[in-house]
Amino acid sequence: MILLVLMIIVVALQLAGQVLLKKGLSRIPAPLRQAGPVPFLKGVFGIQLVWLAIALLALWYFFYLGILTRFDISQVFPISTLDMVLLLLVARVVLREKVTPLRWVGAGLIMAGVWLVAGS
Amino acid sequence: MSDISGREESSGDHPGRLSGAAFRLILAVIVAETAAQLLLKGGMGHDLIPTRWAVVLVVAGTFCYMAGFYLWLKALSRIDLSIAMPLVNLSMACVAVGGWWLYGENLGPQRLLGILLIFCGVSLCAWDSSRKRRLPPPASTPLSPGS
Repeated sequence: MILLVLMIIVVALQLAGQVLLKKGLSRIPAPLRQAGPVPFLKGVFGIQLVWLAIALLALWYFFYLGILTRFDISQVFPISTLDMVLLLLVARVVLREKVTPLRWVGAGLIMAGVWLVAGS
Repeated sequence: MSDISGREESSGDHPGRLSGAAFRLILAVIVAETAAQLLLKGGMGHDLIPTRWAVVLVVAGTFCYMAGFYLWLKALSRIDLSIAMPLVNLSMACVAVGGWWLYGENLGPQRLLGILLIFCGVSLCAWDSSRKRRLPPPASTPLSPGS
């Protein structure tokens, strides 16, 4: 039960972090996206949303490591598969990205593969 | 796969299409993440390795993670999250193969099938995302105020 709650928290943190990161990064002016590391990172860290996203992802990382040290990997692996379907859904709904049917199929194959690799 | 390995489309870049440059960034993310995971695995999970070397491996692994995150920022500033995210899962397959090669981890039929499925799925996503198709104007451009 506690594991389930922890897993939901981890997945939610990852989703929120990545979506906010994408939202933040899409505010970077186009020329800066192809610029060198210093101007690019200056642009990136000038966006408050990116800081929030990185904070969430850092939290996700520590939660995930915490879970990995307390539970067996074979109990935890559904996290990484669940992540991806939900992420495509959230990207579609929140970010209004166009997800083609073939990409859903591809993501399904990847999920099945990750399930087999991580769950064995 | 001529589209994804092709030339750069600097002016015609659209976040809904995987350009050659964006694809190379994603590949670099995958390499960095795979290296990071294998280095951390070597540094933490193996008693055979002397402590001094274990520290070096952990530091190098962390560095690879940071490099991977920088490349992820670069990639995500150019393409859709729903294109980038499925592709980076290839690192799961790479880590499984690397674990077998470096640390002699077992690679049974179930894992091999999983690796094959991941590879097929990633190829399908990359091919589909890089196809030329009519795309709506980007949902969030830096010029639109409310994005």
